[in-house]
Amino acid sequence: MQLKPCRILAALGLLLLPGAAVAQNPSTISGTVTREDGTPLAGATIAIPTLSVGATARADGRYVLLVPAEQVHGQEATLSIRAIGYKPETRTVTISPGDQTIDFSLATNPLQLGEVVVTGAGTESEVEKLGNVRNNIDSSLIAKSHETNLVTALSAKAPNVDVTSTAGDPGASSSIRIRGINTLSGTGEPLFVVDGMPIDNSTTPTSEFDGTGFAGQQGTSASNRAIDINPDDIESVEILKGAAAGSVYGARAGQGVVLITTKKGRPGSTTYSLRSSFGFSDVHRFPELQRTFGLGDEDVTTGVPAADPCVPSSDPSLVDCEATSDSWGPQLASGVPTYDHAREVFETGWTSDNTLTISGGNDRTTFFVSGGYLYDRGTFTGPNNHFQRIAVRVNGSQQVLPSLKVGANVSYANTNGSFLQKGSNFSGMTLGAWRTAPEFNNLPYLDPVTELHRSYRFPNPSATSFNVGRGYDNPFFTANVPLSTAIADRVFGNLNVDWNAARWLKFNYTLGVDYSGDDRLQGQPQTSSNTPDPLGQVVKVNISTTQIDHNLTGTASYQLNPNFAGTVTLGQNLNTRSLRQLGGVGNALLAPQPFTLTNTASQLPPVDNETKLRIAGYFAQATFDMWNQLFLKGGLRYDGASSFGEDTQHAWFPSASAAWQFIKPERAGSFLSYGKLRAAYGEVGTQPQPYLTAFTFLSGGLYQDGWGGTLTASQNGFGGLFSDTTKAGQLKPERTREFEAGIDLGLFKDAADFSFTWYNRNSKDVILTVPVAASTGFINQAANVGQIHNAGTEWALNIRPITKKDFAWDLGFLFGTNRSNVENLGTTDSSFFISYGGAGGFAIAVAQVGQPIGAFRDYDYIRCGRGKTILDAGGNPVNVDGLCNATQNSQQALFINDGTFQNENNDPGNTGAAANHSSAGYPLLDPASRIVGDPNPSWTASFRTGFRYKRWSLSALVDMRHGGVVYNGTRGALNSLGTSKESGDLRYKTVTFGQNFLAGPVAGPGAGTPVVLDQGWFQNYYTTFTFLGVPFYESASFTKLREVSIGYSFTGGFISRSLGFSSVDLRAAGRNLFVWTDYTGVDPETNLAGAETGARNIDWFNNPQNRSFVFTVTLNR
Amino acid sequence: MRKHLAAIALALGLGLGSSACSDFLTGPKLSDNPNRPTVANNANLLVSAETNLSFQSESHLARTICIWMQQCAGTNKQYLSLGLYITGDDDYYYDGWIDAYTRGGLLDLRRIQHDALQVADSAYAGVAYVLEAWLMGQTSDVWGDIPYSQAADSTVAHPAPDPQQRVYETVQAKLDTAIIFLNTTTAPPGGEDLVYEGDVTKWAALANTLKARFYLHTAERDPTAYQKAFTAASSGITDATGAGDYLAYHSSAVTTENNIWHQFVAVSWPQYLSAGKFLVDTLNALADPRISQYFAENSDGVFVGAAPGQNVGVNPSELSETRLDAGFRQPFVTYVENELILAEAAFRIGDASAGTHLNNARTAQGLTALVTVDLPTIMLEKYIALFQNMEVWNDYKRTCLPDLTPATGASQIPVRLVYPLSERTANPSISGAGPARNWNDPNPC
Repeated sequence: MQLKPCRILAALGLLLLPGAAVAQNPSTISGTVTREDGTPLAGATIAIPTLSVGATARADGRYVLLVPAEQVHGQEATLSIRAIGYKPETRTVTISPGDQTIDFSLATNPLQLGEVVVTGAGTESEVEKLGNVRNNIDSSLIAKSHETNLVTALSAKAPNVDVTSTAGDPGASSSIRIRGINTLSGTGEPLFVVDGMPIDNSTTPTSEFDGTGFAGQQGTSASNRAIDINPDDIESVEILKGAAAGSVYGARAGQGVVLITTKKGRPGSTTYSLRSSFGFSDVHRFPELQRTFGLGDEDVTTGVPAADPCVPSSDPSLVDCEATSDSWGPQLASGVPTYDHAREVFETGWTSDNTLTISGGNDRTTFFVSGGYLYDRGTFTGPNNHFQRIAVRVNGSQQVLPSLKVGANVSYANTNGSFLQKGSNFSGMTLGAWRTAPEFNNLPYLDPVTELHRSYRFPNPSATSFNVGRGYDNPFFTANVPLSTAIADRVFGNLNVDWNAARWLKFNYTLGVDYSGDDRLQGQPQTSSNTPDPLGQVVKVNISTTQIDHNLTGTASYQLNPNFAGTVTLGQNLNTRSLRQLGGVGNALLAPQPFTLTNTASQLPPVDNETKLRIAGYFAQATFDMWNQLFLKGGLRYDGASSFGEDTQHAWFPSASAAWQFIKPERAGSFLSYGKLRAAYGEVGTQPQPYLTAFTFLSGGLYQDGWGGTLTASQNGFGGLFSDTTKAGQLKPERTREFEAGIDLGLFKDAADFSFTWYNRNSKDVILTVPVAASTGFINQAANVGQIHNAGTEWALNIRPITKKDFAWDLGFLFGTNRSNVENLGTTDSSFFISYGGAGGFAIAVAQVGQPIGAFRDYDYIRCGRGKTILDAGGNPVNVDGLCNATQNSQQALFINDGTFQNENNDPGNTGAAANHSSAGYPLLDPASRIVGDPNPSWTASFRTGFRYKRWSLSALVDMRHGGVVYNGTRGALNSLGTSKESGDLRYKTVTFGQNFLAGPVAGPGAGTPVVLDQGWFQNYYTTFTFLGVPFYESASFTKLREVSIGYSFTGGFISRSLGFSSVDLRAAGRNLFVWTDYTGVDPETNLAGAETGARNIDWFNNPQNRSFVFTVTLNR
Repeated sequence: MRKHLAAIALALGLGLGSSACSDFLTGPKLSDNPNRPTVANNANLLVSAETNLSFQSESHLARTICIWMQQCAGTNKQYLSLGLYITGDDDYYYDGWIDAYTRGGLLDLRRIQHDALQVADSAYAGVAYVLEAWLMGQTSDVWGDIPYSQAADSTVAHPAPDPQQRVYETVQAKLDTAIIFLNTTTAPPGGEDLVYEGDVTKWAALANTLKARFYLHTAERDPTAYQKAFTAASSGITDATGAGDYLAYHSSAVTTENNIWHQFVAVSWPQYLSAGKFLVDTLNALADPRISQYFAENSDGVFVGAAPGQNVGVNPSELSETRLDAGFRQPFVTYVENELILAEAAFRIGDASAGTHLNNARTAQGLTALVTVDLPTIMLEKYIALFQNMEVWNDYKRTCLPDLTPATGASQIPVRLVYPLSERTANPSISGAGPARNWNDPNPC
């Protein structure tokens, strides 16, 4: 049985009755709206709701309200005025024929009480009636951030809205998580809605198509699609965090909703604004590298470090010499030049951003037009590191009838990015640079004679060496020759209709379309080292997405008596999303250029993928206001989705909230000027990915081991199919149930406000690609088995100590905590985990029962107190705990071998052939992985302040993240290569574990024995190249000076008289100027895999973050 | 006007309502996956099944065995550690374990058998039986007790392992059935049988050699195994030209059809895998011409191998250009192996033909005959002849020949792999890493 509220809505339309026409003269009400300081206030809305007439104040504050003659009866009516940021007022007027003048002087409204906010899917509410916490970010905060990516601009703007920018590359993605993560199969990214239209914010790395299965860890950065929005176009952002707030979006709101409202035109003279900014950016944190020891390896037979046969690299007789990767050679003689490989590939980048906006209109028509051009030149050397965006937007509205307003938004953006190889990738920028032996000059990157790619591992290429991999690519070659681009065209917009069908009934209708076509190229030249063929690779893929959204909402208001009133809303939402990916991968370039599939010798099976998802949702919402102080709301959404299983095609999502305004503004005391208690409960869902419920065979399947070897299922021209490794099942939406409660206070006559929220959310039926026993013939099955719990608190305090006309100072503090816990994964085995994301062989983020989501699982040395079994000299099993005392067991002391024990995988401890000494004194590797850290912060906080003195303004934003760990795989890898500072300082040094190395408790028969840290130790027992991980997890806490800016505004005088501008604003700003952290890597805010996976805090030769200085001139007319 | 609007609203509401509330959520591309087929014929499945077997037999697992058997050496980063037997607990999940069951493994092989038997296509059934026996026997060689009788069965969520003895018994029974099926006149597979191109006689001979191979694997437990192996191998691959050998299908023309050893050494991970010291030293001492077939001279113009865990103070040879050729077809089961099985089995049961078979194998490789016929000689010949073949590990575990020295500090060369962590966590019927030794290998070297 299916509900058809769509028909009910239509029937409501029949109730409209035409008003009786009585001939009379019209009534004209006009006046001026000013601020308290007397300056005109534009944009205020003046209306007589009972007569359905309204007007907007022009730039000079003037408004004119015309009441048609047939409505003029000499009656009394309420005239109300609203303006964002100002306290609304009402006046009682007598509607009589003729003119009358009513002026308003509006007081500022820091608590925004009485203001109307959008609450999603065509619904709105007044601030004080909200039963859930409100997080609003206005255009000035977004402008001050100077970020090109809207998502990055949300950083540190609301508690528990956790934004991580994945790399400093121009156009790189940023991920956003609201109140932790509640899903396992997706990315945990919220739904983005622009002017009522849901839009695509996906991130798809080009490397996803390269056929290696290592998407995310290698390849290049990719953009999240919200980057197509020009941040200058944004009026405000509402973040619907909780389930109660989001439940109007039902099965799409499981990770929260970000509601974006774009700027609109206002009646009055046309205004022009040209905002031009120019910025410089650079990288200011680098890994520490040693510059003392050269290329080569330690020779165990003589105990003397030996230079590599390819040294000196300048020797012309060493043609096609393949050098070791290691800098474990002899100490470099004084006078041998060394190079700063940590910094050499970076230079100063710059950003130019210009946006022209024109807006205006009259009483019936408004328009807003903007055009922006952004060019961001990144901080890597070379021509292939930039991002540009051309974005055009037109917003218009027309008051067709007094009761009917039609609007349209269209936005077009063309983004064009060129990205560099990064991450776990022999062609990666920083991998190539930071692994280079200190005495090797990476310049020139082409051999002067043969003009072929030279690298420290292949210093003297001959003319015929173009089909030989270079070991690791020269970073300057990577910066200049490979070409990876993403060119996207994006159009989205909608038609919206607001119809006040009757005094008590209004309709809102939105029909929106969002299309993007994204053309990808990843071209790696001949001699690239990371491609499956030494002759290079071309990946070309076209990704297009289309979303169509229909949303019809009807809201009826009722008033039972002066004390009881409310609204009833019914709505219908139909949504279709399609995705098309078409392209191919070609290996082995025939000629060095161009990067086209036709210029390759062999091709992988084509990329040919399409998906389609639909949702049909119906929703109802009712509010009940009692004595204008208790506000109740109940909602229900009924969603059907194409990707639910056939037996569970529909689901209900209820919500309810209550807000009690126990101190109303009109009864403000001197201490408490406002008070509201609120509580809300809601349920939201996460829609499953499509086609998880169908059994299929895989065409174009690949056989791959973890080392890149690839066979296609089809061979010798005969088509091969095999059963998909995923088993079919029935699915329903993931469901998050959340209760939140809080208090909002206005203090000291609105000089301060405080908000506190506590929430508790349980997500169940979380869809996991549950690993099934491979021996069943399948590897995975999607199933609704997971259960995740998130709970936390959110605190906000704003203080406005000074709000004078010429001098104002405000401060804001935000603080958020969130604890997540995976409660169920469909099995009773508490050690069962699923790989949640991460990067293949290292730093696997998992979901494991009893652990926070995304916890790292990795390998450690053998320690006491873990019940480990090792083998003694005779091969007999021995319990480690029995060899430690009780204290050592409780401290999990590091177990130090005396040379007689082995671990259960026969790992003999540090006695490999590379070691020329006894094995006593070293720890053993533990070949069983375990949970080793939590990447989630224990709390996040931010502090914002702003001063305004006359025309000067100054602001700063500090962002703090405390707790959690980050995986510094880069350091672990460089230890093996011998280029890390650690491997330079400690090599061949005699140390004692637990004392002057790996400080901490030690135990075991070898404890206290001094040992030498030689190449064998670093390369087998103190690196991330063996499975070991634990020594490389570091604190992820940081404090960043995110934003600081100073501005001056010129008005009047010369500016307006001679230049004709109403104002000229100058601003100088700095972004990410300082980072305070104990992290020894580049930046703890990083993520190898980018926004596209759930895993976070993995550092493996990532491209670093930037700091920047931006200068902005805004001309207003 | 308002009347009109009401009418429009009514029409809009009804129109959307009726369209929205019927077939909006189901239909093409919504309920069905538009990207993937839902049916596969036996020809499609056979191509994958042969490729899958090939993949298990020459990817990371095979490289590991080559290193542990000191034919090869790991000489850089992770592979250097691999030479010291450092492995993680899930390293062989994707690189060996799942191949037994998925992606053209047991599930799809049973699908081929089912579909073939439905239409009495005994040639197809026979081929699929051989592939199943080989794949499951080879998997059991590595892990011992493995899920088999309950595996790839949609009614069993957590297949329990069969004892290794039972696995080998099933393997023999499957091969017996296969040999009967292959004695057929039904139309054989065509080119989709990548290796034998539908030659059922070759398949039957292969089945017999495999029977002999798997009988040897039980010889430490079953005194009659050598006799059984001798009998089976007598009907095994008898074509001394090598035309009956089962070689991996590869082609140099297409990147994704290239020899996996080529892909690893020449393309992805240069300098990670080099010549093993024991094999190079042995071949040098014997002045065996195969040294230049297997290995390339190093930059000093000589053949040098690296010892386990050694990557400095040595300039090791790489594998030869022949072995690293993109189109090189790795021998998996050959006439030479069959003759050396016969030689060992004959020697063990006291049959006088041991020397003849040993030298048949030598002659087939273009080598001079040997005079000494003893177990070390036979096993050394097999160790050399089966370069890069996973069978070398099984021979070593059974005979402790050749006498390899474990990596410095280790008391023994690993004798089995732990059950991969992913299978253990998903399958409660497999508890823990498994025993220290497989059933068929009770005696340490």
